[in-house]
Amino acid sequence: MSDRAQPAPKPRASGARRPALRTLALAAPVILLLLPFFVYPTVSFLLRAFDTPEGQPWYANFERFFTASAYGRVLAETLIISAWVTLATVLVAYPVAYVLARAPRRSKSWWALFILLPFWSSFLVRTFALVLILGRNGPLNDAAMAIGLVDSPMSLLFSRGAVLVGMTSVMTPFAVLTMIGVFERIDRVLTPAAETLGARPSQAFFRIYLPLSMPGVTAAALLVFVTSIGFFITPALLGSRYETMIAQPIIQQVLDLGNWSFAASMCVILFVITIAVFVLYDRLVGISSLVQQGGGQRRRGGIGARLATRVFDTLGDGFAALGRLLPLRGGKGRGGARAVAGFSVFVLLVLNVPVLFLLPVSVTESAFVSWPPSGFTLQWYAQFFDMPIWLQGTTRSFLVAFGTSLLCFLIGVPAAFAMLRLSGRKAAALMVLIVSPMVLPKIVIAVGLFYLYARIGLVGTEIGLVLGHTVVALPYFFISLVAVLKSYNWRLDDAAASLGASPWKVRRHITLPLISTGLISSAIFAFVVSLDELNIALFTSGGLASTLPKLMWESATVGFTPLLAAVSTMFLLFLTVVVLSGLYLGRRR
Amino acid sequence: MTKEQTTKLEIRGITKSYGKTLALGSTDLVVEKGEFLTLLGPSGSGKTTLLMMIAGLTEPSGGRILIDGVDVTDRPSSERNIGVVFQNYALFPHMTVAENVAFPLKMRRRPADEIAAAVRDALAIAQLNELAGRYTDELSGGQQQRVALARAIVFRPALVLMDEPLGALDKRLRDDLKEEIRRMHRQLGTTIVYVTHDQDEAMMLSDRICLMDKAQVVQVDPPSRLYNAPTSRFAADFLGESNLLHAQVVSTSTEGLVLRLTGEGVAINAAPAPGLSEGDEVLAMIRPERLRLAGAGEAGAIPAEVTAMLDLGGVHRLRASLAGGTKLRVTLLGQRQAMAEAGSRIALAVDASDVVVLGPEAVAS
Ligand SMILES: Nc1ncnc2c1ncn2[C@@H]1O[C@H](COP(=O)(O)OP(=O)(O)O)[C@@H](O)[C@H]1O
Ligand SMILES: [Mg+2]
Repeated sequence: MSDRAQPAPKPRASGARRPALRTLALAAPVILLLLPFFVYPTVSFLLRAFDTPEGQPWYANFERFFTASAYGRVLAETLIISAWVTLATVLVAYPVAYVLARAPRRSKSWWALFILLPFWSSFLVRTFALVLILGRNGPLNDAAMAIGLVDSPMSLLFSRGAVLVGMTSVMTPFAVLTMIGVFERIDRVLTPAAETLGARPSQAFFRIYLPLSMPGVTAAALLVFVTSIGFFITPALLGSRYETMIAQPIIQQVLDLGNWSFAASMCVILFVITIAVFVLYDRLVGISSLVQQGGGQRRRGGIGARLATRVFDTLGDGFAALGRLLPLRGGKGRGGARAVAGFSVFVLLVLNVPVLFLLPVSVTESAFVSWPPSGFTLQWYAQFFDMPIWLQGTTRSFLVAFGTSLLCFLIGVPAAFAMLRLSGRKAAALMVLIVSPMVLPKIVIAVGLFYLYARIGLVGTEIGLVLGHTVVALPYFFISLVAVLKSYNWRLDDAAASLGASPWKVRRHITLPLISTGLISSAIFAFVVSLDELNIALFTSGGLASTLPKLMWESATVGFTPLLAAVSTMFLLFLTVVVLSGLYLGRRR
Repeated sequence: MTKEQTTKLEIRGITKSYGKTLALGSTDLVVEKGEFLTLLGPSGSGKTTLLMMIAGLTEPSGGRILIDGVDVTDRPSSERNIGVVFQNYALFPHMTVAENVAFPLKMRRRPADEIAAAVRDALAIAQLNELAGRYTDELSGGQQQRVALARAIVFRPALVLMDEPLGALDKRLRDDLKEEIRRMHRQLGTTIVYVTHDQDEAMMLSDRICLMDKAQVVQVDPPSRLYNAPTSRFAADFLGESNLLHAQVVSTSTEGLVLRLTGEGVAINAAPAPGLSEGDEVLAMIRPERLRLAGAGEAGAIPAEVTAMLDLGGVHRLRASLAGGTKLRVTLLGQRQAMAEAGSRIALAVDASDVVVLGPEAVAS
């Protein structure tokens, strides 16, 4: 125990007689949590897919899946939607990441804020906002009719378009944050340098910037795709029955029909697709570039890379030739930069503004959601506080989120210190173990946990929720904390020690004060992830121990009401305050 | 008309400000064909700003830039035909050395065989032949520097700009590459505008030095003239060591000035300086190595006391103090016979032509 209280931070930690043992001790808690509550339940549940009745072959469940045309259509729709979402997200996120990476320091923090706010704000609430905005009597139709664009309201909801818009807007901040790391490492002087060598701005972009930014683009595309195929909130709320994605029948099989084996076979299919995409990515780009971004540059020989280079070069030359033909000399070609910045501002508006429409709806006097809202009343807020079920769910969510950040803290901090002492394969293995819940379909993890909890009696308990939420939130906590520790100047500790401070005093007076804000902001992000987590509660809360997101989800599947708008508004306000304080603390380093 | 033929680059009243900060005050500068001109000045004096405006990468707030007599102020960088060597080289990391060097030629749509030949020549000049197939992050700092040079000259630009190209290298490498840049300049006959804050580099490479300070050009002159005849206190201070002595003009004549050092009973002769009259407060600038030990009975000798002495082999550096407390640095070359210990009394002398008089405005600054 005393070992853990004074973690030795560096690989070359002095005084550690058995450094390997010490590192193992630091990593032990995280391993002891993830093996039984992530690896084991997921694997044992997936194996149920091959658990078939007497007299049927092991692949009977898969046979059923692939022979029923309905499931084939669902799978096809899942892949099609995910592919379109990936394409759209990358195209939308690229200019934003480009502008963000090159923004001058002062405006940069504003750009970053308006990407991080939607990233951390609730998936559910943002989808609700779109339900409202795209609705038949929503603000968009209202505006279109007011300016005489259309005579009668368009039906924008319950279509593939609506699902694509919804998923793309949820995924864009995520993609921007994935790209930005690579984009910021591209030397800003390279494109001007290319221009002095005779390249027109479009050639400099396509021949220099774009190829160098590709590792970020492919990483974002990969993560967006594997996240998208496990989605169910957006297709359920914004799509029609034709936009059913594979997570939806999985939920139905488990919760309504209790058919574990068939659900497991669908999860196996989801899982296999995810793995296949990762393998394909490794072949084309190299998986190492995902872990240590920028390292991807070394693998330059691949067919994909060469083909891409050809295409980019041609595109750049084409645009340059076009530019030469057009009589746009005077502006010195800076119009392009302005257009990109303008587009990025537009994207940020689209990401941030919709949730603002929830506020007026939450104070409407009408019992239905309509636009423009009529009158002013706080009755929906009063109703929330009058209904025990909402209050209990809210209390439970807060308790669970608190427990989750505490548990993340207790096991994540030693693990992060262990990470710093490891290198090579061992470091990669620890990273993969901790981070994979973030990239695997959450629904698979959640159903696996339900399968385990059903046998050991954790269904409907707060402990079960905390354990499940910790599995999901730990990647965010861990990544954020490792970044803090990596940027910490360990020489300060050496300096303090050389000035006579004992190891304990060094931790107490130097290390902890300096990383404490980073620690707290990491814990706040774990709190936020837990607060917004729906998958785990959907399966493991039973009928009784509902969380706030689960109540919101259930109520939304029945219909969108002003009460839900009021709940969403409060939830969003709270999240924003928490996230802003997390960001503020995270910056103060 | 003759001016048109020898002038490569002409800068007319160029300025740049960022909001309220003035990065470069109104600047005029003319660079001749084939000339090696160095912008020398402390960090933040506006050197990079000026260079980037010439390159077309920074838009001037005012003024015009002419290359070969043609106004290029509104021309994009890609059409100025200027080679630029950036401070951190700006090599393209996804291209090999050969591809980097071929890039400007590809942009000019030269035929493939011509590109291959030109790249080969440029790599040979930069002594990079063996490294053609390497990626740039597999090269040492010095090698990267050579690639940047090769890339900037391969398309035979008439003007090459270099922004502290040796700043990131260690001293030995710097010396080697200095030699090489000189050789390349002579071999190719290009006009070079070179930025550095290192005075040795500037003295060694330049035909002329443009000395800059606080967003202004201070003095433009050949290195020896800048050293021997600085026109301002900043120039005297920045380049090499100097003694700056407060003095008053006692008399003026066509042969020269007589100055009385303030606080001392000593008078010294100086070369004639226009615009000064009796009673003016001035600064007398004397380089330490221009002071020498006076011969026996030499007229105008200055008595001094040695306060410290450093024997550097061929060179002796003294600190000396005059009767009134004025401190002097003296550098003596190879005068072993009469070396003075600390504490001993000596007599110093200086030729009138080695005393540079800076007018009243230098006293005030
Ligand atoms: N993009 C910029 N924005 C604001 N100020 C700048 C910018 N670039 C340069 N400056 C300012 O202009 C002045 C001159 O800078 P610079 O030309 O880089 O100097 P040098 O190259 O001589 O070190 C400095 O005070 C610097 O702070
Ligand atoms: Mg500079």
